[in-house]
Order: sequence, then structure tokens, then C-alpha cells
Amino acid sequence: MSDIRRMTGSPWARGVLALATLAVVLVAPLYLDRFWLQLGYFCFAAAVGALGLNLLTGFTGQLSFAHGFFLAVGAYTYVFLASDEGEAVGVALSGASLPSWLAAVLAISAAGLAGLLFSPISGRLRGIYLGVASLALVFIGQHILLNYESVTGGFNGRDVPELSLFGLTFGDSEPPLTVLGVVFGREEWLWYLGAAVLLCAFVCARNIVRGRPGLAMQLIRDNEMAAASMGVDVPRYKASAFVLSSLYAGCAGLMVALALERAVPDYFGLALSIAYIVMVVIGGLGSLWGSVAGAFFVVALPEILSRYVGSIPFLSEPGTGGVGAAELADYVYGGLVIAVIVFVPRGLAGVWTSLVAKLPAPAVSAPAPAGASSVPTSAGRSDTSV
Amino acid sequence: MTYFVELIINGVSIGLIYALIAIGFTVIFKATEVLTFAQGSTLLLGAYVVVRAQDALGFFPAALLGIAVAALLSAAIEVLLVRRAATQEHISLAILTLGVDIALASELSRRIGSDVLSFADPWGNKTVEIGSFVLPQARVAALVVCGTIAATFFLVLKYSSWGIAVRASAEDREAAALMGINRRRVAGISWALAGGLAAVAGIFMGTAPSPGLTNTSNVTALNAFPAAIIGGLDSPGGAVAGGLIVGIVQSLSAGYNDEVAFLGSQLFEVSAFAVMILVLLWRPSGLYGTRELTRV
Amino acid sequence: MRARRVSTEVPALVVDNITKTFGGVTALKDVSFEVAPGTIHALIGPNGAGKSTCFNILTGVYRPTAGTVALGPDRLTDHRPHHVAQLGIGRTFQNIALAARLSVRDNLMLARHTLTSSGFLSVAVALPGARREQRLHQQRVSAIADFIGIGDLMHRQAGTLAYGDQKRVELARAMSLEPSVLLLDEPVAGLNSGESRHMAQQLLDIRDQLGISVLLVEHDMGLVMSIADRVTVLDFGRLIADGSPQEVQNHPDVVRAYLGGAATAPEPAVATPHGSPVPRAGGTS
Repeated sequence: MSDIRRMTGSPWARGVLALATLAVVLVAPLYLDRFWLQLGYFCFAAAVGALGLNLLTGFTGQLSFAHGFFLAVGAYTYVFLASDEGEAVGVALSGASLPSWLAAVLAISAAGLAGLLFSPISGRLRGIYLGVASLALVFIGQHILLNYESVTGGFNGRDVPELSLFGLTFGDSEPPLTVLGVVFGREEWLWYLGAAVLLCAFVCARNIVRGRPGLAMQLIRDNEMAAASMGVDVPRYKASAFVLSSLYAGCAGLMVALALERAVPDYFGLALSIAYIVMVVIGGLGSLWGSVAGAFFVVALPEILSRYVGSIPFLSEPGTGGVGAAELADYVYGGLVIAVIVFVPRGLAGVWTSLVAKLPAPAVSAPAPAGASSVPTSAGRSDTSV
Repeated sequence: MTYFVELIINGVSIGLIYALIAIGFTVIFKATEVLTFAQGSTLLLGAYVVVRAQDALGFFPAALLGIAVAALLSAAIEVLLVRRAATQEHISLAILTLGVDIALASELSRRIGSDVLSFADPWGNKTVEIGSFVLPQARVAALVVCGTIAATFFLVLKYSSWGIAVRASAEDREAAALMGINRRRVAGISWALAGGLAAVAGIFMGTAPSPGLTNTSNVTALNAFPAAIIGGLDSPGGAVAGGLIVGIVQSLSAGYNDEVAFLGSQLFEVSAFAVMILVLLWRPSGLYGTRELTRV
Repeated sequence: MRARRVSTEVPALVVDNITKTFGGVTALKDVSFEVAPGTIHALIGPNGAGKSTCFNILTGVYRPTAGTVALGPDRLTDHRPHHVAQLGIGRTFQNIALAARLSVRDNLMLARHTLTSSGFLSVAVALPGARREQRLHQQRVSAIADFIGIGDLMHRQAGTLAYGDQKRVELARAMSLEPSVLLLDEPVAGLNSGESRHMAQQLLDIRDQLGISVLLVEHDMGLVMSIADRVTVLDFGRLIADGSPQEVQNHPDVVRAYLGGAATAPEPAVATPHGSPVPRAGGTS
């Protein structure tokens, strides 16, 4: 099972799956209630963030705990730029009152810029030292967020303005808009926005991974010296990987802010960064699909557990001292991370490729060798054996 | 002036506590090349065992029990998980320890809840007068005990067969194995020692005058990371230096909080990390860490 | 980043008075030699002679304490490793350094990095220019792979190949850089005699058909003596001989370095691909 083409499954199956997914996404708001639509949207947002982190950690081999910080940059830059001046809980708030679409674009760029500012550090440090340096970034970031009260609202945070694109406001409208008998409000519009953004983010990530930059990143992960010998400017690529992942994080932060309606610094702390690492690891480092799956899993699990806490016998309500939804989710995350690293390092994606490998081989046409000097390989001609 | 000196002494005391945790990091890294994120929850576990057992056993026996449990947990992580992992990539193993920490810290936080559990230590809130300084006994005890343990540790590192084995393995793993050094035993002992040190640190972190064991005590332990990195991840001596630097910087920034308020309130929470970034910009491998020589 | 233009002129690689010290240890002292264009040049010496150090200086991994290395008009020693690749130096690694999870084709495409210029943005949005560039270069590396004889392995994961095949992928990757000079670090280490013979023939083909210079660090004397045009011998960091294989073989310092003072020269036991054994010491060539 070493043929790359076999590992991705047949094109037909993938095409059918894609169409089916598209249909489900389009039709879902007509059938699902607000809880599920909002959960789905959070999953989309987290998936965008997870893709970004995977590009940095899974594909370029740079461990980072700073992801939560870049999400915060995206979220708060948007809030600041799109808000008017005001006051909340005794804190004077400033705002640039820009149109929300412009604020959104600038917010994502700001996150990328933050990633760029970090690059002198990311370029100089190796592996584990970089991971711990990023830890510093998340704490320093929290410190800034809590203290920069005029922008962030300090400890209590501030409200998030709604996003308007091309005249469409992603929020509830007065009078309520109905489509096919269903009231379309915030959750419905955000669902479509989230799905569209995730699709673009995924396609871009896939193109990058398969193209020239992606190959360079992966060789940096596997052997930096070899990458340099192939002409790859390693520090520059590491910095670019950081910028790329922080752009994705900024976008995810913006999306999350739109859903939360209120941006609070506490949300964007170390726990968030760790959650993203868990997503990427469970899904599979180095697998884009895996990041999406991991994100969905990590976001959905505690929410679903909380919703059905009454029906699950050993779960208790939060605050009672028993095992609640959040704790159970943590045990599951911790356990899965351990299980993945110990048994299936490629995560869910690794499990998937092993399953695919056991299917009968699809018809793959091998290119006829054109050169005259094709020497028989010492291992024999065996690229269809598993 | 007295205030300044008291802050320094306070800083040294806290610094030595961090140093113990940081020494643990460096020993594990030196022996097995793994950066572990599980020290925080190991610390929490050890301290928790002490708090729960001290009523039945008394403080000191409970302390020994806590240290033993923490050492056992730490060794178990290495023997059962790290060693058997399907991948030995550094980042993956670090994330493995993170997974342990997530689950363990969550469970311990739940049990501690919103309580502040205090230790039945003999120092309590008593103070001691040394010269013109009035210092909390607990702080002095921390300084003395942690300092002694650290010093003992270095003697062990230098002269014991385990210590020589660790240093040899860190220099050249294959040569060490060829010389008959049992890497597994070295690894197990190293992790166990690190766990024990973390438990000691946890006990001292929770003794008066600071509030006792809470469900966020392991977050305070995170400050040991900058200590280990500043010193250099594979240098136990550097860990002590790093710990002292972190402790003193924290103490001073807390003590002079008002004067440095322009940098933000509660600066001391991030001061350690800020210093770490500065050190890394100057020396990418820490003050005493060995720079990686790429083997081509 | 502008893509590099491939020149058809192969310049000489000139190593000029290289000295390298590590702390108190002198690894290399005043080493000078020249790799003439389109020749196969071997760098040999006993263990610890400084071959790896010299090799690492040539590839830009180490900076020499003194001296320079020049490829035509360019001073390699002034540049960082990734610039050295841009200037036309392709290298293989003693321990395979492929991206194990990528396909063979992707590994070869990596070497095209300096010859292509698509950036993150153009690739992310799949601009036609980026896609065209990728297609063109994929065709080129396919041709190179066929030349080396690994054309049927293109879609295999590099890490799953047999050792001998991985070594050939390494060679194909170095070739995909369109280098002027190939630096090979023990190209036949770990290969059996059949594989070694194929590799030797491959190197001769590269020299004869493509005119690329080859510098190899090797321990396998049979290979060296049979295919090298010129041999440089190092011992204790100093150059002790430099000449044709026959000259070097009979050189007393070389004999002494390898055998510690024995009277006769080392006799290669392997027959060359051309069929005729290398003349023994004392015989006429």
C-alpha cells in the first residue's frame, strides 16, 4: 500500500461524496433548528482555524501554542474597526466605524501581519523552542487583551457588530425573512457563510499543499537541511507558514466572534490553542480532511453532551462536582490524543487510509516507461501489492 | 531598600520552586529528548495526594506519599506511553504528554473544585526574623529545602551511575547504548525523578503565605517552562539559573506593580514569558543549552 | 523570487586553500583541488580524514575558517545553503533525506524549487500560470526519472521504497535541480555489488551524456578507481595526493595512510563495468 493514488480513494467516490455534502449543506437550514445550525457554524469556523494550524504544525512541522492569540487578533480587530465609539460597564470603548466588510478584510490581514511580526522569532528558533516561545505569545497576548481596554473592553469584552456583505446582513432582519416557509435569521445566514468560507479555505489549503510551497513546507518538516540543499529559503518559508496559519486563525476568530456576539478575552486563551492542537492531532497531522473532521469532533462533542446531559446516566450538571459534559469531553480528548500518538499517529486520516487500502484496487493506469535505460528495480516490480 | 531585599529573597524562594520543576523538564529532555507538558498535572496530583492523606498520615508521611505517587505517575507515562508510541517524532511525543495533561488536569480540577485546600505544614503563617528582615517561615523553608534538593540533585547527576548514564546518553545515544547503558532504566528513573521534583515544588507552592492548592495551581507551574527554556532545555544547571531569574523577575514586578503599571496591570503574570522571549532572541538555545549541530 | 536560469556551460569547481577549525580541532588545513568541468572527481581518505567536513563546506553547511570555494565566477562560500543550490550545486545525502510521506514525483519536484517561482498566492487560487508551470516541470522530472530508471516508481511513497531505489531517487532528485555539479555523499554505501555497478554506470552516463561534473565522496575503492577521472586524497585534514586513479594508487603517502606503512598498494577486487580490471601496482597501465 505505497501508491499515493490508492491512498486517496477513487475519484468517482469522492465526487459523489462531494455532491452529497453540498446538497446537505444547502438544504440543512430548512430542517435543522437553531442549536444545530449554530453548532454547525462553530464547527465550520473551527475547521478553518484547524486547517491553518495543520498547515503550520502538520505540514511544516512547527508546533505552535499561539493559535488562540491569532484568533483573538482577527476577532478584536474586526470588533474595533467595525464598532462605533461607546461605553460598556464603565469602560470607554473606541471604534473606527468602518463598514463591516472592510473591517473583516482588514481583520484577517491584521492577523497575518501579527504572524509576520512573530517571524524573526519563528525563523531563528528550532522545533521545541519555537513551541515554547509560542506559549509566551498566548500569555502575552492575553495580557495585552486584558489591558488594552479601549479596544477590547478589558475583562468583560465587548459586543460584536453584525457583518454585512453586498447588502445582505448576516443577522436577524425586521420583518423576518422567510424562505420556503422557514424563517431565515442569523443562524441560517451564518451557516451558509461559514460553509462557503470553509470551502474556500479548504480549496486554497489543498492547492498550497499540492503545489510548490506545500512541497517545500513538507520537506522542511522532514529534513530542514535537505530543504535548504534543494534551494528552499527555510527561515522565510517558516515565517510564511506562520503568516499563513495566522491568516486562517484570524478568519476563524472573526467567524467565531460573529457567532458569539460578544468577544471576551478569556475565550482566546491557552485552552483555545490547546483545543486546536487536539483537533489537528485527532484528525491527523498532515491531513486536511482530518483537520476538518477533528474540528467538527472537538467542537461538537461537549455541546452534544451538554444538550443530552439528562439522558446520559453518569453525567452531571456543571457545578455539582460530578463528571460533567466538559470534563468528559476533556477525558475523551486527552484519551484520544494519547491513543492517536501511541497507536495511529496519522489520526482519523490514518484510520481512513488503512480502511481504503483494504478495498480492491481501483483501475489506475500506470505510465509506460519511456526511457531506454530503465533498469529493473532490485525490489521487483510490485507497486500494486499492499 | 529592605523592601527590595525582601522581594529578592522572596524571588529566590519562588525561583527555587520553579527550578525544581524546570530541572525535571531538563532531565527528561536530556535523557529521552522529549519535552513534557505533563509536569503541571503531575505536580497537581502529587500535591493533591498530600492534601488528602495528611489528615490520616500527618504532613510529612503524606508528603512522601505524594512525592512517590507523582514519581510513579511520571515513570508510568514514559514506560507505558512514550516508549510505546508508534511515532517517535519530538512534536508528536510532546503532544502525547499534552494529552495526558488535558485528561489528568481536568479530573484533578474537578475534584478540587472551587476549594482552596491548605497543607498541614509546620510553617503555617509564622514568620522568622533574620537580621532586620521579617520573612515568612514558609518562604525560608522553601528556599532551604528546594535549594538542598537541587544541590543534592546535582551531586547525584555528577557522581551516581544514573547521572553519568544520563549525561552519556545525552552526548551520544548510540555510543552510550554500546557501552552497556540501559536506556530504558535511565529513562524510567529520569522521568520518576522529574515527577518527584514536581511534587515537592507543588507542596511548597501551596504552603502559606500564598493560598493553598487550587484548581489552577498547575497553571502557575507553567512558569517553569520559561525557566527551563531560559536556562537551556538540556541543561539542569541552566534550569536553576532560569528558575531564579523567573522567580526574581516575577517577585520584583509584583512588588513594584504600581511603578510598572504602564505596562499593564498584573504584569508579573507574563513577566517570565516576556523575559524568555528576550533571552531566546539573544540566544536561540537558551543561556546554557547546547546548540544543535545538524548531523548531515 | 525569480526562477533561476539554467546555463549550459558547466564551470570548474575550484576549492582554494580551505581551512576549517572547530574550537581547537583542525579538521581541514589548506586543502586545494579543482573539479574540471564534465569530469568525475573522487574525494577519498581514511575515516576521520575530513572528507565529510570538506563536503559540508562545498554544500554550504559549514563556513570555512579560511579559503574559498568557487563555481565559475560565483564564490560558494559567501552563500547560505539554499543559495548554493540556486547556483547549480545538486547533492545527495549519506543517510537518505527524502520526504518519506511524499511520492517520488513530489520529491523530484522539490528540486525544481529554484527553477520555479509560483508563490503562495498564485498557487492557492490556482492561477493558470502556476498550473502550467507545475505541468511543465512534472514532465521534465518524469524524463529525468526515466533516465535514472525509476520512472515506474513515480507514484510510490518515497519512504516505502527499497534502500537501493531510495538512493536512486536521491540521485534523480539531485539531477532534477539541473545542476552544473553533482555532489554525491557515498553514493554506493549500503548497495550490493549489482546495484553498485548500476550506479557506477549511471554516473558515467551522466558525465558522458549530460556533461555534468561529479564529485563523490566514497569508501568503495573499486568504484572510485574504475570511474573517477581524478582522485583527491585527504588524511588528517590535509591533502596528500591529487591525480589520476593510477597515480594516486601508487602514491606512497596514500599507501601509508590506508595501510599504515605496508609496501604494496591496495588492490581493488571488483571488476569494472568496462570489463578490464584496474592495473595492479607496479604494472603498466
